[in-house]
Amino acid sequence: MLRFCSALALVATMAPLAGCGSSLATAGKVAADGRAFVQTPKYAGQAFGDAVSLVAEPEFKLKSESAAHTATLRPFYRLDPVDERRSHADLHDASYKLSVDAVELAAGVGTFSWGVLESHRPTDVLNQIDFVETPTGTVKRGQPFASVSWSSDKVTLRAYGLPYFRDRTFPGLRGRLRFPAVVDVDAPEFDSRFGRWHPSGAARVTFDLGAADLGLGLFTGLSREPRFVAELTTGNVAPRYEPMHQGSADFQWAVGAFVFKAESLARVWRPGSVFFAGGGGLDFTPGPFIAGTQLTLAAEFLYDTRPVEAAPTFFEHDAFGGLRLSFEDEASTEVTGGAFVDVLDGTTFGHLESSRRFGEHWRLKVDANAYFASSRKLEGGFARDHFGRLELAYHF
Amino acid sequence: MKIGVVGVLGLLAVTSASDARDATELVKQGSERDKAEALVRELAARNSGYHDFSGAVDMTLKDATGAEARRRFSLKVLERPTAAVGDQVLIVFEAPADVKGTALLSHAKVDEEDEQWVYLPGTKRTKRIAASNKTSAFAGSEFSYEDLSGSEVRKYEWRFLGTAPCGEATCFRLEALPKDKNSAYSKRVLALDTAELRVVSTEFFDRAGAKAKTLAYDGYTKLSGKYWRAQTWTMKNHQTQKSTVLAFSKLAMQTGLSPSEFSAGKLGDGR
Repeated sequence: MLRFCSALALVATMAPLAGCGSSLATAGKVAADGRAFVQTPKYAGQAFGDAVSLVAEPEFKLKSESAAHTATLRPFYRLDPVDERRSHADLHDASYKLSVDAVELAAGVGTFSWGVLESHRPTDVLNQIDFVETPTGTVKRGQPFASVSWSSDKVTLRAYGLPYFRDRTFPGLRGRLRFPAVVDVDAPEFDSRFGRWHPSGAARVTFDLGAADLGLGLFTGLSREPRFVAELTTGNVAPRYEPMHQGSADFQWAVGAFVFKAESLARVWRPGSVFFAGGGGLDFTPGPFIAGTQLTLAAEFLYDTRPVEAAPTFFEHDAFGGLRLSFEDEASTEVTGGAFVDVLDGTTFGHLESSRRFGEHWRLKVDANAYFASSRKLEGGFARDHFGRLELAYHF
Repeated sequence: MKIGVVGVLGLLAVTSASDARDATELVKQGSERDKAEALVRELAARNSGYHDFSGAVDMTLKDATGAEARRRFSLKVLERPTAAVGDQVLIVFEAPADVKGTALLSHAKVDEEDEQWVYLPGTKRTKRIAASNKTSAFAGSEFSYEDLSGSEVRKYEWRFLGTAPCGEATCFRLEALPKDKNSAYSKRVLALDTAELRVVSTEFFDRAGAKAKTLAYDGYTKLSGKYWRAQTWTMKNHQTQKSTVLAFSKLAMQTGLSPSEFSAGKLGDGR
């Protein structure tokens, strides 16, 4: 921690901070991330893809002594030697926050998380997903925002203005885990005369009901999920982003060793056309199963009633089973895994991961990923892209 | 990182004997159970009214070979607002670096299951977690969640075992048999010094009746002029020869923490 008051005043342009006692905290990670694929690629132009890419995600946080003012900067960069589109930068956080009692004002770029399911959260729609990081959307792109929130001990209310749209990332010609055609990220289409500046907004309220949590959300603006439009001249496919309006609810309820979860949304994706999506399931944490370990099992089901003309999704009627086995050791050794299975056509995503810490700062992660899908499906593009990954990260 | 939440860390505050009843009066008559319950109630009474408590904790894990691993977290405790609910505890990890920002929030309940949440900074998610499994280890340490939970009078069958020397002082010895069938222990034995009624040590006996662990409290300091707090907690596991030391610093009381700081909805907001 460094005394760094004048910089906070500069970053936040907050004159009252001049001369204050504030602190700068740095955190984050740098990592080498190697992937090895099992099979030759499916499409012409794709490289085999075995390579080590480098990742950096530092975080700088400036806080005034009273913690009323906070400025956060968290850039992200991946350098990938194979796919120029996978080499990319982002700002996961670049925000200023003012907290005065129960009220909080914030603005900048940020990431947000809605929803409660373990496997996939359909109601989580504020941020664009960083598809070249993970196709299932667990890594997000920073979203420009301004927000105001109010909280009591049981209720939190938050309203967001989202003035600018972030495009979804997609692999380039040489990249693995892509669709048959390369998505032309340089030529996105927007069904709005404001383009990326189409005004979007959202509101969310959460209630602590004792043994349960309830969240209600509203979103209006450009959908973060693109439809794909074929460009006849180049053979490429362009993403097209359209306005939508959505209401959602999420619920989690702890009963003994179980946590029951559900979330659902209704989306007006075209004037007068509505579809529903969501899911439900449970986490189960049995008593000590093997001495010195803790096991959590998850079972969930995801549904989505969207028509084929709407933006495609991977999770139309998918069952998910997952586990987390934590070894209660000094190295925080952990094994996690899960699989999505489409109950109608058998499309399957599987993931198994193990990680442990070495010393105070290093963490080694090994994972295996498998994709099984018919080539008639969107996911069919991944059908030869089973891969193993080894990531060595230095956290600071 | 093992997830879950620490329960009541507020047990070990007691007021000085000068402004309270002489504890030795409490064990002059009645059954051994009455004497023990009177002492535990007195302990709770002397502890009440502190409102909030916070500090930084350095946790050192040692294995049988002496190899060490470290954790660091901040701790905030909000005293129970009413008798029907327990204390609220917020823990935010600072080290190791890969779990920095991970937060655990617990709202203890007296007669129901505690409410617990974990905040994961990588995905910015707040998850409610099952609170039923209290026998698992806190952050890979020799402390289980059960060890860190408080000694509610009615959650145990109490028995007064008499007085015995404890270091240079004299201690009351109390036996606590858990009513909870999921407890990892057959009993705990607490030693409280007769002068100030501070918990000096707790011995934990496993289901087979063997002594499993001993927790020793050292470095008592008085906060807000009346509440005693131990600055060093040492848990020794007699069966594995591992140990964990919690060293408290930056202890503060009655700093005006508000209930909204302990709300699940605000969890992870820059804390």
